[in-house]
Amino acid sequence: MSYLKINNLSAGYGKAVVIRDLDLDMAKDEAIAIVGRNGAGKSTLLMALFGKATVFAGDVSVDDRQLNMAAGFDATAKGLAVSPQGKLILPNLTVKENLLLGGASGRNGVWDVNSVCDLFPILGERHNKPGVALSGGQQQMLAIGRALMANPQILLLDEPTEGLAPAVIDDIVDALGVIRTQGIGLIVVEQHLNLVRRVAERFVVLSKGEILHQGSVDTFDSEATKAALAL
Amino acid sequence: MSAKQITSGPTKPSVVGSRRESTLRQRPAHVLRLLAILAVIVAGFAVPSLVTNPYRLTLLVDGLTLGLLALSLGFLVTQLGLFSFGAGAFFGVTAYGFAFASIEWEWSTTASALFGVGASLAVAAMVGAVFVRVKALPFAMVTLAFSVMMMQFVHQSAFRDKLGGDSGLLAMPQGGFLGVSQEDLLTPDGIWPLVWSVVVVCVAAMFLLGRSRFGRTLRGIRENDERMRYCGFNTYWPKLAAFTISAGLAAVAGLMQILFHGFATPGLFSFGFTGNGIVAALVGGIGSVYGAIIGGVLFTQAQSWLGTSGNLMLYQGAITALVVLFLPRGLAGLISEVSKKALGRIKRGGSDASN
Amino acid sequence: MNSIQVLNALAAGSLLTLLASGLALIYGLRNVMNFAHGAIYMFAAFMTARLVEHTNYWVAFVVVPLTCAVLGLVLEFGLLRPFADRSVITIALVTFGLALVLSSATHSLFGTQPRVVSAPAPLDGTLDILGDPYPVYRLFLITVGLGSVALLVAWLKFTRSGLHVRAVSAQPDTARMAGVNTKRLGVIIVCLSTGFAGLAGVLAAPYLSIDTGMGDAILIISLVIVVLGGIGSIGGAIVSALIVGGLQTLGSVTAPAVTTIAPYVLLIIVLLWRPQGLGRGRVDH
Repeated sequence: MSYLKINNLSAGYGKAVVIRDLDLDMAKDEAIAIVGRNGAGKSTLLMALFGKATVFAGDVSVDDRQLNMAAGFDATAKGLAVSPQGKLILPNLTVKENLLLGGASGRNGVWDVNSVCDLFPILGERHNKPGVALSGGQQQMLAIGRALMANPQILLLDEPTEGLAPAVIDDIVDALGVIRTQGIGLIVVEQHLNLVRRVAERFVVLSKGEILHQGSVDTFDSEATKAALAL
Repeated sequence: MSAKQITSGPTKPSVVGSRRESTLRQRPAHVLRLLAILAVIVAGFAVPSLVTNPYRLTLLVDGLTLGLLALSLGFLVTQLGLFSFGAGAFFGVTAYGFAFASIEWEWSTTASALFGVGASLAVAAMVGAVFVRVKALPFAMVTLAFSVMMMQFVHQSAFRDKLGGDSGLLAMPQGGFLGVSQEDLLTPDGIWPLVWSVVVVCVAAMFLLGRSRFGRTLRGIRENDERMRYCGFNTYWPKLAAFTISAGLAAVAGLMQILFHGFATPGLFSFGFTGNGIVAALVGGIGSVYGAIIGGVLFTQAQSWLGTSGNLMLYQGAITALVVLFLPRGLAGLISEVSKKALGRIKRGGSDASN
Repeated sequence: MNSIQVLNALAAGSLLTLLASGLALIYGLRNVMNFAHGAIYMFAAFMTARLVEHTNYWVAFVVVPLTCAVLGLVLEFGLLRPFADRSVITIALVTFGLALVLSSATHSLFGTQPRVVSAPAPLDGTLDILGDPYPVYRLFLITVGLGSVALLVAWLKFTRSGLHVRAVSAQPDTARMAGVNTKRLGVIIVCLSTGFAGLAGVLAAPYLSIDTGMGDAILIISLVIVVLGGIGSIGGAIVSALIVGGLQTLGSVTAPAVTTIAPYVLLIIVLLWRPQGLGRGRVDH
């Protein structure tokens, strides 16, 4: 039973089409990794759901309800939340305010400022500092925490480990494990294949805006996968 | 980001290629167009013998002057994407400079004119050095602020005996200018050949400038300032040069106005005055060199028709809003659209004049 | 410098603060440099004068800002929403056109003659401030003007929707991605902005002379203030408005000749030093 259904989606920036006729279905507690080269359309796929890329064709439904992608804020209201590439912490807000911003859609659930700070204690310690005063790894935790504040059914992470030290990556992987225990699904855009194995069950290889190959992470070392990733 | 490169990469060379090809193939159309332009230029000189009513001719002279101001605004918008809400300031500085030199120092018309335009260019280069550093919207605001500042400056009671305060300066030309006698400067049919020649020269210069390497550099900056800088281009000096050139056009317009009317008033620095130029540029068509002149002439005509009804502001405002929303390329855009449809086969290279 | 001069500075500053914060709000949330803001203010002042003739000031005090808020609805649904894909400059030019239309409408509705409105009954006297008599109405103007702005700041600082406003004005896309309903917030802000312009007009009516040029003059100063404060920074706009209001009033006592030029010189100096303005505004405008 799929929770998120992407049908025939074509999207891009301006007039340029970056992803073409893409179909993807996902159950509500699944963890999917999206891999592929730079420019393959991984981020564009995520950004299309949140109104930052232009949608040319196709539709997306969440829990059988049509998603209004152009509005941008509808995805969060329907149960998707994103930690975007580059983290996009608001410079004029404190750590706590950045978290509160994540709750803008008003969905209820287990995640609030306290439970997020239990997950990432550093955010609680530094809640009054400007969000951008945190280190890179802490900002990533803040971005994930902000997304959790929306109490999503599916959490989308765009390159969550980009530029982070191995120890910090371990912390984030552990936190993702805790988040999964709440029955939350994951979509992770990731360059590090090592990490894909640690957080995902299924993977999708994107190339030139199309799905080239997909399968379970158990088959990650197969020849077919290697061939797809080499393209 | 990668998407942008995909689209912009192949299209640019192909446009250049097709233009070169089409100019060769469409030579007869090209010659016809040149002849038509020459005919308009020559016919322009005959206008005073057709429009004998001095009031009507005065309106046309004013229209050309406003057209030059619109050309100054349009140049900056087309080449750099910057709207100067204070273009009138350079018009005003020239008018005041001319009046001041001829009254205070009793300089000849030619010397005063050089002083007026020179003062305007000097001021433009100075303030431009700061203004071109900011982005489009703050740019619009600081140019506006500068213009209002100049208005406050000439209003100053301390300078009332030099700059005339509220009533401004009245300066009669002291001798002829560029072959036009002192008496002729003050009559519409006398000054017409001068103003028309200036308009032709300025329009031609802007057209050529738009097509030059400099013009291409400027449009590159307009598209993506940052990328140009990464590519090793210095974007500051071209921007400052463009700003100064644009101010120079406004200065020439101001010179025509002071030579003809002999007035320099604080109102030249008001947003309302630059607003007239903006409306003229928009109506005529941003991105077209001749559109600005058409816009200026139409604006002055409309002002005299509608002014009598007392609802000038209403029409002016409504027309601005409607043109901006529904006719973004103005009348010139409409003309080229219509002529393109009529002469279906004529290629597009020549119709969008300045690009 | 005495207390009277400080109060005068505050009175001038509170009108500027109302107008500039309204402009900064609508720019921050809707990406619109609203050239019709001054015309709305003038419309409000003329409407106040008319209402005072027929009813009384307190009716105007309620009705005028509400009317202007309704004008904001018209602006939002008639222009900003249908043409949301147009450039900032295009919309700015359209509002410039609308300013002329609204001014023209004001003149045909209320005439072009300058008006004087006297302060309403309980506020028409004077009060002793450290030995000098001071008009009570001006104290009222300062209280209501600065009070409204203080309420605005409190709303921005301490409420959820205020937090959303700050987020949207800094990074609209990120705020939307985080789930902020920018459409609903946009309507509220546009109405608040024009409502504030209306409030400034109704407050100015018994304080300044009402004439056809009043909108243009204050609009340009307010725009200068918004740029000075850093485009997109509401806090920056408020602080700059108080600085400029203070400068103008105190300067008019000490050095009247320089004062009229001061805000513009200040703007140019600030931009030379910090092209993004004083406040922590938007980086990507």
